[in-house]
Amino acid sequence: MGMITATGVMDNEAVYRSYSAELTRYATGLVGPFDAPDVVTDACLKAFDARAWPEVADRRAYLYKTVLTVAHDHHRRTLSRRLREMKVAGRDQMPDPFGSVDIEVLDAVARLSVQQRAAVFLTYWEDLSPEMAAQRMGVSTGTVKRHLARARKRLGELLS
Amino acid sequence: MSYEKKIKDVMARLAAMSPEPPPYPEEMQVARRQEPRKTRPVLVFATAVALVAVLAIPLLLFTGGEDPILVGSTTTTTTTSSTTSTTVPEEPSTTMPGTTTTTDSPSTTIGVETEWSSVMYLFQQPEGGFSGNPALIPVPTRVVDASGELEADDQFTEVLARIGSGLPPGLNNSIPAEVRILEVTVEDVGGEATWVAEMNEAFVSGAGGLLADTTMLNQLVYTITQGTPEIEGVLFRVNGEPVEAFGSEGMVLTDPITRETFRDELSVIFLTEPLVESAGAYVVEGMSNTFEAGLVVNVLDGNGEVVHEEFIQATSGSGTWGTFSALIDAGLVEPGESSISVFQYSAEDGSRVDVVTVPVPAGGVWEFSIGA
Repeated sequence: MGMITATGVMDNEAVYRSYSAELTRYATGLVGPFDAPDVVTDACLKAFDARAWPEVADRRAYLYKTVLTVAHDHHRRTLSRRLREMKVAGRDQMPDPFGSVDIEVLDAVARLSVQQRAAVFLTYWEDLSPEMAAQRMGVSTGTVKRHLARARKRLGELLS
Repeated sequence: MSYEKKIKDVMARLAAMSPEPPPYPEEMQVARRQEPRKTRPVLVFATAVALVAVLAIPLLLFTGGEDPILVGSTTTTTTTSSTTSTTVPEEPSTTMPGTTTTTDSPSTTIGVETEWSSVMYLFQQPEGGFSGNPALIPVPTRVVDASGELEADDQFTEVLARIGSGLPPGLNNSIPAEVRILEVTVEDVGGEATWVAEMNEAFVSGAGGLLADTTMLNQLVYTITQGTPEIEGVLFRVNGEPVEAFGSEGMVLTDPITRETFRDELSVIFLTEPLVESAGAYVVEGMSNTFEAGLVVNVLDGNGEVVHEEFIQATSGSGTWGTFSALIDAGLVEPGESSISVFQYSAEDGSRVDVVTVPVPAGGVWEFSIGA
């Protein structure tokens, strides 16, 4: 359990322990704090089940891509719905199992598509170059730049 | 603070909200690997019956056939072993409903409930509607399928077909039961990210009439594009080809359809987001094209009595579409019994026209049980 095998490849649990915290942070950037654990769990199950998984050289990058894919399926209006629920209920009345919830930040993120959130999160939080962010997302550098440009425009009204 | 720093700050605050990572999903992983991907309950049942026969005959011979309960529990244990017993062998009964029932009810002895939830757009014929056009209503839906056939990633047309006529009161569906979305993907169409919906062949026949056809398309387009404002268009394909003749009028659907395409075929007041209710406060969001952009929102109690009325203003009106978004604080109304009406007062005679009335379900979600 959680060991490196005789072939020098980490088993699934070891992979999970190594990357689950950063994947959860990444998922928080994509779908918000409420759904991030579910997205990470689903993504890891999907990755571990994939036929290609034993052959994957860069497992970290593969997991990042899977989190993005699962988040895309998952987010369909969940974040904006939660946000509206929070607004109508008032922050104090909402169950808040994760400590502080920054409603303004979620409001900002809700304006972006999942792809745009990924590009912005990787660029502005992880400090990755567009090339590196593209690698994590499994898209071209040009696509990342386009997502960033659109995200900046969408956030413009809020932050200017 | 510079704009770039502000974005950085937003992302830092977002990262700070990150919860603890979930625990390693070892049990789920084992269960998933043991579980066949597409096991149909009928096959499970047949296997269970066969195994029961094999196991029960010697037992019956041994006990003289005086313990029918043993047969039932053997069935359960045997069935469980094909799905979950590797993860929780010590508690097989907790994962299986009806473990003490006999084998004459497959759904209670071997059924594994599945669940589907999302928002689908239905329609309502408004009261006093001048145009005669329908109003779209987004309906948060949760379906529990006792037969286990419905899967979480099934398309909503599958769900609609299974629910059939048991829709929430006052709401209708224009998508024929035989029409199915087979797959929805995102593709680059003419340089724009576009939803591409692969439909079955029944789609091209439409819904039986021009208005029914456009209502069906509006239901499909609004449901598919929900939550993705950056992807506006939906391109429908049948057998991989764009549809050149759709419905009763042979509409050409070779270009992507957006929420705007058939907006004028909708009533002048409709909802774009599901109602959200909490402690007597409601969020109501939609589009309208009313006289001077004015709208009225009523909150009704379980007897249909108006307990709260509020006037709101859309962003545009009098010939142009606008959006409205209102937080209505009605005070305490019995949960699960209230409904919301949105309408305008007629400029001609002051009567209520274009009235859309949406019941508010307990918990904000319409629950359906199927497959029992």
